Amino acid sequence: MQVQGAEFTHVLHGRYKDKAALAAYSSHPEHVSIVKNLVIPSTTDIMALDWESQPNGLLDAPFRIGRIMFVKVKEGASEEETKALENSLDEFPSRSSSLTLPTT
Amino acid sequence: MQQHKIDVCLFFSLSGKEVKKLQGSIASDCVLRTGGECAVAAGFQSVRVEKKRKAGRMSPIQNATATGLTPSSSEEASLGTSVVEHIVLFKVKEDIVPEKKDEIFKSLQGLKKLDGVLHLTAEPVLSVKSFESTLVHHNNILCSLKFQCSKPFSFCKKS
Repeated sequence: MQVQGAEFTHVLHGRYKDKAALAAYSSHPEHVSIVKNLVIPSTTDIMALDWESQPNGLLDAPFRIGRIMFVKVKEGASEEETKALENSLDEFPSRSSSLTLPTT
Repeated sequence: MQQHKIDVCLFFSLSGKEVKKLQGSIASDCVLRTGGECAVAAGFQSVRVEKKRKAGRMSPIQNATATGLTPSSSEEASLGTSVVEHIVLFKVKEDIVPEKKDEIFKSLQGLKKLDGVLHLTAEPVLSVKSFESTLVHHNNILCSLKFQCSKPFSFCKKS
Protein backbone atom coordinates (compact mmCIF):
# COMPACT_ATOMS: atom_id res chain seq x y z
CA MET A 1 0.00 0.00 0.00
CA GLN A 2 1.32 3.38 -0.93
CA VAL A 3 2.01 5.55 2.04
CA GLN A 4 -0.16 8.55 1.55
CA GLY A 5 1.23 11.64 3.14
CA ALA A 6 4.59 10.02 3.76
CA GLU A 7 6.42 13.10 2.63
CA PHE A 8 5.08 15.49 5.22
CA THR A 9 7.89 17.03 7.19
CA HIS A 10 6.20 19.18 9.82
CA VAL A 11 3.01 19.20 11.79
CA LEU A 12 1.09 21.86 13.61
CA HIS A 13 -1.44 21.14 16.29
CA GLY A 14 -3.66 23.91 17.57
CA ARG A 15 -6.49 23.76 20.04
CA TYR A 16 -9.11 26.47 20.12
CA LYS A 17 -11.90 27.49 22.41
CA ASP A 18 -14.49 27.01 19.66
CA LYS A 19 -15.03 27.21 15.91
CA ALA A 20 -15.23 31.00 16.08
CA ALA A 21 -11.81 31.11 17.75
CA LEU A 22 -10.33 28.95 14.99
CA ALA A 23 -11.94 31.16 12.35
CA ALA A 24 -10.56 34.27 14.06
CA TYR A 25 -7.11 32.68 14.22
CA SER A 26 -7.26 31.69 10.55
CA SER A 27 -8.23 35.14 9.39
CA HIS A 28 -6.00 37.05 11.80
CA PRO A 29 -3.63 39.32 9.83
CA GLU A 30 -0.57 37.89 11.55
CA HIS A 31 -1.58 34.34 10.63
CA VAL A 32 -2.44 35.35 7.09
CA SER A 33 0.92 37.06 6.73
CA ILE A 34 2.88 34.04 8.02
CA VAL A 35 1.00 31.72 5.70
CA LYS A 36 1.43 33.96 2.70
CA ASN A 37 5.04 35.00 3.22
CA LEU A 38 6.60 32.02 4.96
CA VAL A 39 4.51 28.89 4.67
CA ILE A 40 3.22 28.93 1.10
CA PRO A 41 6.56 29.78 -0.55
CA SER A 42 8.37 27.08 1.42
CA THR A 43 6.00 24.15 1.09
CA THR A 44 4.81 21.92 -1.69
CA ASP A 45 1.90 20.33 0.13
CA ILE A 46 -0.31 21.11 3.08
CA MET A 47 -3.06 19.07 4.62
CA ALA A 48 -5.31 20.53 7.28
CA LEU A 49 -7.98 18.92 9.37
CA ASP A 50 -10.26 20.43 11.99
CA TRP A 51 -12.56 18.64 14.35
CA GLU A 52 -14.44 19.08 17.56
CA SER A 53 -13.35 17.17 20.57
CA GLN A 54 -14.08 16.90 24.23
CA PRO A 55 -10.73 16.61 25.93
CA ASN A 56 -10.81 13.80 28.40
CA GLY A 57 -7.88 14.96 30.40
CA LEU A 58 -5.07 17.43 30.55
CA LEU A 59 -3.43 19.13 27.68
CA ASP A 60 -0.58 20.61 29.59
CA ALA A 61 0.73 17.36 30.95
CA PRO A 62 4.25 16.15 30.35
CA PHE A 63 3.67 14.16 27.23
CA ARG A 64 6.53 13.86 24.83
CA ILE A 65 5.15 12.60 21.61
CA GLY A 66 1.96 13.20 19.77
CA ARG A 67 0.52 10.99 17.13
CA ILE A 68 -2.26 11.72 14.74
CA MET A 69 -4.11 9.20 12.64
CA PHE A 70 -6.47 10.09 9.88
CA VAL A 71 -8.69 7.21 8.96
CA LYS A 72 -10.93 6.82 5.98
CA VAL A 73 -13.44 4.08 6.47
CA LYS A 74 -13.90 1.78 3.51
CA GLU A 75 -16.73 2.58 1.21
CA GLY A 76 -19.49 0.11 1.78
CA ALA A 77 -18.62 -0.44 5.41
CA SER A 78 -21.80 -0.92 7.38
CA GLU A 79 -22.79 1.27 10.26
CA GLU A 80 -22.06 -1.62 12.62
CA GLU A 81 -18.58 -1.98 11.21
CA THR A 82 -17.90 1.70 11.57
CA LYS A 83 -19.19 1.57 15.13
CA ALA A 84 -16.97 -1.44 15.81
CA LEU A 85 -14.03 0.51 14.48
CA GLU A 86 -14.73 3.43 16.76
CA ASN A 87 -15.27 1.19 19.75
CA SER A 88 -12.11 -0.76 19.07
CA LEU A 89 -10.12 2.45 19.24
CA ASP A 90 -10.48 2.34 23.01
CA GLU A 91 -7.97 -0.46 22.97
CA PHE A 92 -5.15 1.52 21.49
CA PRO A 93 -2.16 1.85 23.79
CA SER A 94 -2.43 5.54 23.52
CA ARG A 95 -4.26 8.55 24.74
CA SER A 96 -6.37 10.90 22.82
CA SER A 97 -6.53 14.58 22.26
CA SER A 98 -5.26 15.00 25.74
CA LEU A 99 -4.22 12.89 28.64
CA THR A 100 -6.71 10.86 30.57
CA LEU A 101 -6.91 10.96 34.30
CA PRO A 102 -5.61 8.00 36.25
CA THR A 103 -8.30 5.46 37.01
CA THR A 104 -7.01 4.65 40.47
CA MET B 1 -7.86 22.73 -2.73
CA GLN B 2 -9.07 19.19 -3.09
CA GLN B 3 -11.68 17.91 -0.72
CA HIS B 4 -11.07 14.54 0.83
CA LYS B 5 -13.33 12.50 2.97
CA ILE B 6 -11.84 11.55 6.28
CA ASP B 7 -14.04 9.73 8.72
CA VAL B 8 -12.15 9.53 11.92
CA CYS B 9 -9.30 11.47 13.36
CA LEU B 10 -7.33 10.34 16.35
CA PHE B 11 -4.88 12.41 18.25
CA PHE B 12 -2.81 10.79 20.93
CA SER B 13 -0.38 12.26 23.30
CA LEU B 14 2.08 9.94 24.94
CA SER B 15 4.47 10.05 27.83
CA GLY B 16 8.00 8.75 27.43
CA LYS B 17 7.06 5.41 28.98
CA GLU B 18 4.12 4.99 26.68
CA VAL B 19 6.22 5.82 23.66
CA LYS B 20 8.33 2.78 24.48
CA LYS B 21 5.24 0.65 24.81
CA LEU B 22 3.90 1.99 21.57
CA GLN B 23 7.12 1.32 19.76
CA GLY B 24 6.93 -2.23 20.97
CA SER B 25 3.48 -2.62 19.61
CA ILE B 26 3.47 -0.68 16.39
CA ALA B 27 1.74 -3.53 14.63
CA SER B 28 -0.94 -3.66 17.26
CA ASP B 29 -1.29 0.05 17.27
CA CYS B 30 -2.07 0.16 13.62
CA VAL B 31 -4.80 -2.33 13.64
CA LEU B 32 -8.31 -1.30 12.92
CA ARG B 33 -10.77 -4.10 12.90
CA THR B 34 -12.89 -2.81 10.11
CA GLY B 35 -10.06 -1.24 8.28
CA GLY B 36 -9.51 2.13 6.76
CA GLU B 37 -8.96 2.54 3.09
CA CYS B 38 -6.27 5.01 3.89
CA ALA B 39 -4.82 5.96 7.16
CA VAL B 40 -2.04 8.38 7.83
CA ALA B 41 -0.35 8.69 11.13
CA ALA B 42 2.13 11.37 11.91
CA GLY B 43 4.23 11.31 15.03
CA PHE B 44 5.73 14.47 16.37
CA GLN B 45 7.54 15.73 19.39
CA SER B 46 5.79 18.02 21.76
CA VAL B 47 8.38 18.91 24.32
CA ARG B 48 7.64 22.58 24.58
CA VAL B 49 4.48 21.89 26.49
CA GLU B 50 6.43 20.88 29.51
CA LYS B 51 8.55 23.98 29.75
CA LYS B 52 5.62 26.20 30.50
CA ARG B 53 4.81 24.57 33.78
CA LYS B 54 5.86 26.33 36.91
CA ALA B 55 8.02 24.71 39.53
CA GLY B 56 6.55 23.75 42.84
CA ARG B 57 3.07 22.93 41.64
CA MET B 58 1.35 19.67 42.10
CA SER B 59 1.85 17.48 39.11
CA PRO B 60 -0.85 18.17 36.53
CA ILE B 61 -2.40 14.77 36.94
CA GLN B 62 -2.70 15.10 40.72
CA ASN B 63 -3.97 18.57 40.33
CA ALA B 64 -6.57 17.53 37.82
CA THR B 65 -7.72 14.71 40.01
CA ALA B 66 -8.23 17.19 42.75
CA THR B 67 -9.99 19.87 40.79
CA GLY B 68 -11.13 18.31 37.56
CA LEU B 69 -9.65 21.27 35.78
CA THR B 70 -6.60 21.84 33.70
CA PRO B 71 -3.91 23.64 35.61
CA SER B 72 -2.05 25.64 33.02
CA SER B 73 -4.26 28.54 32.19
CA SER B 74 -7.62 29.93 33.12
CA GLU B 75 -8.53 29.79 29.46
CA GLU B 76 -7.68 26.13 29.15
CA ALA B 77 -10.72 24.03 28.51
CA SER B 78 -11.99 22.14 31.49
CA LEU B 79 -12.82 18.49 31.24
CA GLY B 80 -15.89 17.70 29.25
CA THR B 81 -15.85 21.05 27.49
CA SER B 82 -15.88 20.94 23.75
CA VAL B 83 -12.90 22.42 21.94
CA VAL B 84 -11.82 22.57 18.33
CA GLU B 85 -8.68 20.78 17.24
CA HIS B 86 -6.74 21.87 14.18
CA ILE B 87 -4.05 19.76 12.58
CA VAL B 88 -1.92 20.85 9.65
CA LEU B 89 0.66 18.70 7.95
CA PHE B 90 3.30 20.50 5.90
CA LYS B 91 5.64 19.27 3.25
CA VAL B 92 8.53 21.70 3.34
CA LYS B 93 10.59 22.05 0.17
CA GLU B 94 13.88 20.22 0.28
CA ASP B 95 15.98 23.28 -0.41
CA ILE B 96 14.70 25.26 2.55
CA VAL B 97 17.54 25.86 5.00
CA PRO B 98 17.11 24.92 8.67
CA GLU B 99 17.12 28.58 9.75
CA LYS B 100 14.18 29.27 7.49
CA LYS B 101 12.29 26.26 8.82
CA ASP B 102 12.88 27.52 12.34
CA GLU B 103 11.57 30.90 11.37
CA ILE B 104 8.42 29.46 9.84
CA PHE B 105 7.48 27.21 12.71
CA LYS B 106 8.51 29.61 15.46
CA SER B 107 6.35 32.25 13.81
CA LEU B 108 3.43 29.86 13.77
CA GLN B 109 3.97 28.95 17.41
CA GLY B 110 3.95 32.64 18.20
CA LEU B 111 0.28 32.72 17.22
CA LYS B 112 -0.51 31.02 20.50
CA LYS B 113 -0.96 34.51 21.91
CA LEU B 114 -4.12 35.09 19.85
CA ASP B 115 -7.46 35.06 21.66
CA GLY B 116 -9.18 31.72 21.89
CA VAL B 117 -6.03 29.72 21.15
CA LEU B 118 -5.65 27.25 23.97
CA HIS B 119 -2.64 25.42 22.70
CA LEU B 120 -0.38 25.57 19.68
CA THR B 121 2.62 23.54 18.74
CA ALA B 122 4.45 23.19 15.43
CA GLU B 123 7.20 20.63 15.12
CA PRO B 124 9.08 18.46 12.67
CA VAL B 125 7.37 15.17 12.02
CA LEU B 126 9.13 12.20 13.58
CA SER B 127 7.57 9.64 11.30
CA VAL B 128 4.66 9.17 8.97
CA LYS B 129 3.15 5.79 8.47
CA SER B 130 0.33 4.37 6.50
CA PHE B 131 -1.48 1.26 7.53
CA GLU B 132 -2.84 -1.68 5.67
CA SER B 133 -6.53 -1.99 5.94
CA THR B 134 -8.33 -4.84 7.58
CA LEU B 135 -5.42 -5.97 9.65
CA VAL B 136 -5.30 -8.51 12.37
CA HIS B 137 -7.23 -8.16 15.55
CA HIS B 138 -5.40 -6.30 18.25
CA ASN B 139 -5.87 -8.53 21.25
CA ASN B 140 -2.27 -8.18 22.24
CA ILE B 141 -2.46 -4.52 23.05
CA LEU B 142 -0.18 -3.79 25.94
CA CYS B 143 -2.40 -1.51 27.85
CA SER B 144 -5.82 -0.10 27.51
CA LEU B 145 -6.10 3.59 28.08
CA LYS B 146 -9.13 5.56 27.18
CA PHE B 147 -8.98 7.92 24.33
CA GLN B 148 -11.40 9.74 22.25
CA CYS B 149 -12.25 9.55 18.63
CA SER B 150 -13.86 12.47 16.97
CA LYS B 151 -15.53 13.15 13.69
CA PRO B 152 -13.78 15.86 11.73
CA PHE B 153 -15.85 18.71 10.41
CA SER B 154 -13.53 20.12 7.80
CA PHE B 155 -10.62 18.88 5.82
CA CYS B 156 -8.66 20.33 2.96
CA LYS B 157 -5.54 19.59 1.02
CA LYS B 158 -3.32 21.76 -1.10
CA SER B 159 -1.48 20.15 -3.98
